[in-house]
Amino acid sequence: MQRWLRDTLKGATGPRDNDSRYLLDVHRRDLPGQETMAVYTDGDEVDLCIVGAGAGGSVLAQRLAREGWRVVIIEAGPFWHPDEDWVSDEAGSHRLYWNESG
Amino acid sequence: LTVAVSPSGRDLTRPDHLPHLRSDGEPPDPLWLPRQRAGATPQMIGRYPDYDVLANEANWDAATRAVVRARLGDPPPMRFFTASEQPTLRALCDVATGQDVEPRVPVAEMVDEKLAAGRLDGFRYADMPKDPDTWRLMLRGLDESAARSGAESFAACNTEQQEAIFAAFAKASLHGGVWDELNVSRAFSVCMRAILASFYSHPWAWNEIGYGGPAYPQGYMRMGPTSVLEPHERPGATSEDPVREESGS
Repeated sequence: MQRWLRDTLKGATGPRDNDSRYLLDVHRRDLPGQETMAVYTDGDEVDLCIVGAGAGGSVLAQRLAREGWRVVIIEAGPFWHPDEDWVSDEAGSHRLYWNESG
Repeated sequence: LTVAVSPSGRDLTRPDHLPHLRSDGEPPDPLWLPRQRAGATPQMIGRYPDYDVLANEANWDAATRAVVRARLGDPPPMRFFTASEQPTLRALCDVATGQDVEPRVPVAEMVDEKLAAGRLDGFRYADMPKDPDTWRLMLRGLDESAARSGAESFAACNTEQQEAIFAAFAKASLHGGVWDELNVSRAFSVCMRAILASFYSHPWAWNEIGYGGPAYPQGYMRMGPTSVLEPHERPGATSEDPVREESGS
């Protein structure tokens, strides 16, 4: 888009299509996308099974799901709710680490 | 500054705070710092006398607020360390964090709580006992070192003696008794990891160093286009885009 046109519109247009369109909905908290997330039964055939929902596995699953893959992640750890279990504090987050010390 | 000499008799006239630039190589007495006016800090002194991190707590999410608030009340009695170990632990925490008068961050209680609850770090050195055992050995070693310098216990030493033993601990130059069974350098690392993590998780310590505290959801509410501002944000002085587009795009 031409610079003068963008300046005239003063932010009324969104950014060019990039990864920011996948960012969380600013008007919602909780688990956005949970209701549209695919759930498979044990007998379903999928394209990829990822072991471990860590920093690598989670991103890989998300990127491939965007491209239409049928993806399942297997995770041994507990489910942590992003609003109730995650805190913006380092010492308060130590319990999230997988350190086998209880 | 109206006070030139601290109660302990140290010179307060040199507010230069970098020990290596001082002729004696010693840090200045912290009493040259101003009294805290907003909120609380350890010993009520700090470099940001009008800053209180808790003034911003309305902008934190409920889970974070609960975690931080829980650190502020009176700590429960110790459960892990025995009655005979507690004075040594308190003296160690005081000398390590430079806390000599109230109000204190209850570092000893915070370390005790962590060990009593078994919330270990999930790793340890191959040549070291488990952290709880290291802590008990370490406290015994400090008392032994104090006894060798003529005092009844580490807690009974005067501040200069405690600082001397602590400095030797930091340099891993303590010997004899417990210290010959323990890798002293790693024991110091185990000790300071718990003490510093506890001290700097307390909002009073945040006030002292001017740490901004938790940042959620503020800062993450309006992600996406930069034209959308959060409630606490103000438009920039200019509308100039710092990321220039290539000509012809």
